[in-house]
Amino acid sequence: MSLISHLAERRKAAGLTQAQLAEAVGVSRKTINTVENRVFVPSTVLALRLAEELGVSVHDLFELEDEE
Amino acid sequence: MLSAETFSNTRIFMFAVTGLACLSYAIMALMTGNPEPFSGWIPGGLGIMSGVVLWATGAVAGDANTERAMDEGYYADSARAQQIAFWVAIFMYPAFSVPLALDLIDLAVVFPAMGTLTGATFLLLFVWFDLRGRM
Repeated sequence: MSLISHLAERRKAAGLTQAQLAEAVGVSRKTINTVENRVFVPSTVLALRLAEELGVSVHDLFELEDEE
Repeated sequence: MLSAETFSNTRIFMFAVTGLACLSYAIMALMTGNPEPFSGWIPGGLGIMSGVVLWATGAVAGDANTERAMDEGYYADSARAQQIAFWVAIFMYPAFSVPLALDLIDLAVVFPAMGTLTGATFLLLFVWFDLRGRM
């Protein structure tokens, strides 16, 4: 089961660069990039931090891909 | 103060240089049949130097930037590189047993080559994963 990420859209809507978001949540820019590109599935803690920083729910950032 | 990005770049550079030195050592040992194609202190010294340089870079960058550079993405890349390097290291035993059994290669050459190849595998895979993640 894979994860669909809406992080890039939400980040851009908030007017943040990858580097600014990374700084705010305490990770590297590369980690933000890999989450946006679906290379890396973030931990629950990081997902919650990202959601909090962007003022949205975790469900607004990520959803499970329907495999039907 | 150095940024987390600078710390990551320094780590990639040191790992790449050390990994390439290990790979060169292994390839040259196998190609020339010489168990020490150049001083073993070069890959070993680069490994020690990497540790010292990264420690100093981390000290200058500060705890927050170092932790950002060693976040969960870093640990995921490192774990993947270790997993693959582990199986490559195991696979080298049967792989090298064939030329050893056929007397195509000397036992004294195989062990330094296998050791440096194991190190090179982890280091260069980590570099590859990290660089690919940035694109």
